[in-house]
Amino acid sequence: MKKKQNFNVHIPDTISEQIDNIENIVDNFLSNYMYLENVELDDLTNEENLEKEFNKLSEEFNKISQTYGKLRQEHGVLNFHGNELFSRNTLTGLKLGLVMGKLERAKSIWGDQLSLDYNAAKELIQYFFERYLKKSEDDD
Amino acid sequence: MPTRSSKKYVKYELSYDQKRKLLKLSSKYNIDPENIILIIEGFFDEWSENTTNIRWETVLIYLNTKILAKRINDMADEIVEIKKRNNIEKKMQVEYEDDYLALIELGKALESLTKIGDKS
Repeated sequence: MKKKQNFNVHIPDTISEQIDNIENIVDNFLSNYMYLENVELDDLTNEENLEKEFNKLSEEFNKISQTYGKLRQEHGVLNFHGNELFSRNTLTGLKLGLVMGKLERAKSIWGDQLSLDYNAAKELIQYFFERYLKKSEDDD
Repeated sequence: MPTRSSKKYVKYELSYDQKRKLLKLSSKYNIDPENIILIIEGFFDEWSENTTNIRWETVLIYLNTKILAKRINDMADEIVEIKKRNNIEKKMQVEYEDDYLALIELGKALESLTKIGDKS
């Protein structure tokens, strides 16, 4: 059996002395360990540049967030509308199926006197059936 | 680690939550938890050896910059994806409209025919 593992971080005392809340920092470093791997410490010596960079990125982030939000919104609206159209077609297709039933009856009575291309109509209905009715069954 | 003997260290033991976080990260990124600890310790070492006095706040700004840059990147990728999906959805809706017109027309044709049948 593997014994319960403890993890320790060794922090140079020169660092730990200037830090009030070690727990916080270790927390932060854990989440962002991937960025600590290749830090060029020289990048950290110019605080002013860092702040400039941060402000620039903040602005960029704000802008892209807005674009992102708008697109998500558009996506939501499109989805909603698409669903509506889909259900409308499904219902219309269902009604068509009922008419088709009537047609079957008419055909048995009138036979070849019907001028409609019966097979073509049936094929078309089959197409709509597969596209709308079958699809919604699959989705469930 | 050669520098370890010459320097004094404070041993910080990860809290329960931090341990869970560490193990989660380890499995998410497929990296040994000890390696994550080593990366963090390595940074602390370099930080302490740097002669310019780097403040903790500066480190924080640096990390936040990295996080922001990554978020912007991820969002840009997602934007491309959503745009693609929105275009597909728009195309589908044109098809739905066409289908609807075809359905209505077919319905009318069938209806008028069955009316002939009903008269009998």
